[in-house]
Amino acid sequence: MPDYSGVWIVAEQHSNILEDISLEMLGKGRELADALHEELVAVLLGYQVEDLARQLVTYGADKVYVGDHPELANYRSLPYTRVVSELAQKYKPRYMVFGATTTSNPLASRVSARLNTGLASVCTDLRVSDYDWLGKHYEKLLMQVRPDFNAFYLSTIITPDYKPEIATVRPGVFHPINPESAREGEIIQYPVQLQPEDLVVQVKKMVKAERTVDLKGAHIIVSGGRGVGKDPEKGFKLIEELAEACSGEVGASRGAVMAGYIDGSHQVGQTGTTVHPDVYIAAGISGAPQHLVGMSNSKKIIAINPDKNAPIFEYADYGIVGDLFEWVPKLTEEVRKRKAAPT
Amino acid sequence: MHSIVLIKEVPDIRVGKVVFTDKGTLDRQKMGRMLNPDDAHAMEAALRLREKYGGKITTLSMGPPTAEDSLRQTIGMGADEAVLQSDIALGGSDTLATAYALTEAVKRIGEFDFVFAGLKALDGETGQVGPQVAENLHIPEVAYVEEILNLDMDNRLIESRTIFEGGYTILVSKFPALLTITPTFYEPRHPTPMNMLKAKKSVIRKLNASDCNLDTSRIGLMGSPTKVAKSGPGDATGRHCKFLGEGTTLEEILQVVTTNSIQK
Repeated sequence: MPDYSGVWIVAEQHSNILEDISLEMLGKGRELADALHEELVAVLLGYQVEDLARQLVTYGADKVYVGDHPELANYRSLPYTRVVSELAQKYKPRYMVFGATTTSNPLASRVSARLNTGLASVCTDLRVSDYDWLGKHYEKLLMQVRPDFNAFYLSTIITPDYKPEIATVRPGVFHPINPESAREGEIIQYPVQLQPEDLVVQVKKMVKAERTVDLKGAHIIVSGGRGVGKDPEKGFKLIEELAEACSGEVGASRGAVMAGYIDGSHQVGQTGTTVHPDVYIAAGISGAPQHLVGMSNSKKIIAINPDKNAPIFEYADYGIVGDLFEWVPKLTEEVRKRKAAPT
Repeated sequence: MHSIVLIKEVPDIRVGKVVFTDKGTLDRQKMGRMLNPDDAHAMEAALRLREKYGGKITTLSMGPPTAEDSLRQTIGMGADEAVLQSDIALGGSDTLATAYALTEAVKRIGEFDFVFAGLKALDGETGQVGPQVAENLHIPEVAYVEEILNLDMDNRLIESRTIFEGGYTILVSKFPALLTITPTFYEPRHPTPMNMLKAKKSVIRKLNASDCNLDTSRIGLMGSPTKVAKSGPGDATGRHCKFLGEGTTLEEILQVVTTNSIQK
């Protein structure tokens, strides 16, 4: 299919602020486009988003297709699907990359169905490669790497006979390039025409979570899991104290969040935030795969758990077999002592 | 009112239930099977809607014959009817092919007001099939629904609170619509003994590929656009844990913490 060309990323913005994932996709997209010697294109939908289009260029886009329309101000899957699909049908990208987020995941799903092509979701790596499949040679396939079976497996997905090849990528995995304000790129307005059937869902209210927890930028994260269960309030208070002593942030496993021990904004893992701090301290976390996926790239991992056979220790550099209610305050005390006494 | 709930039977890969082969791969033969956890929440949402507004619930699964067990479980929870779409030709279907097959099965089941789906399946974790079915049926989808807030029967509108990047949105959608339900609000009920009895006796309606008039070039391994080129055990961790009192000291651990806790 020689007429398909270029790497597209479908940017995500809410309230006219670009989400980090948009810049992360451009970082990876730049790499893929350079490997192909083809262009990197961003698709940007919203209302009065001209400034954001410029920003996408500074972060690596060679071209930005902008769909600017009052009905596109807030994400809604039907009108967004129409515009993204029309653009893809008209300009025929080789690859399309979306964020694996609560808004872009349904969008990518609908677009793939409308374009009748494959979609590999929540990828953690993307590469370009020639590949032989069932006796046939394919050039420049997108190798889409994703954790499968609750992250017990790592699979490489290909979409050999359909175009575009579509993937969603996990937030927090790829890195943006350094922005250059002098970068040049083409910004093209696409004439948006919506149909009444695109507008059957109305956004009545939209509340963005206050991001008081900065897990992505943290150097140290102290996380609690179900192990705090016997006294969740005290458990997370102890964890918070250790985090504070280390100038770190408080994280949590999905188990702890689902049990209602702590707010979901702290959640690390597949359905939460992907983190890579210098030090990750896992307290009372057994290491469910969905959690491991979100923190296993931390530089150093310290685990505290009463069960020596807990999977978390396989991912840890240092292990303390014991009760977090005993060990977390001990660490806090020691850290405070060392910080107070200049060495 | 008629709701169709899409369900999937998945290998039981919850922590502690996993069996590995000597080579470190999942031993699927020895592992149990279960109703996909998110789908139980979708089922619960449909049941609550029926309690309030009446009507009927049909559950639908595409899968091997063993998926009957999970369908019976949904009858145990309170489904009125269950349909199993099963055919050797469907084996190996990816999400697009699955969504195509399910769409055709939904059409065979007939008129509906809502299609419910779990947020995602435990084994694949793609979360794609629901929105793809909605696309094929030309109906809106409301994804990541936490709670259904209101139903306006006169204007055929459904109001729901959905998860949105850490916050939430309130969406009002026309129906028929497809809803994907997050496992955060609707805690699934246990089957009642009486319903379990009913479930045992119930006849599960079967649909095969030709019953649904499926285009065989669009299903199964060959009809799926995506292929698994490689699959193996997840990331080798590359780490070797040093346990306190065995390979390491508290001093060493504290050193790691304190040298990194100085703000850079």
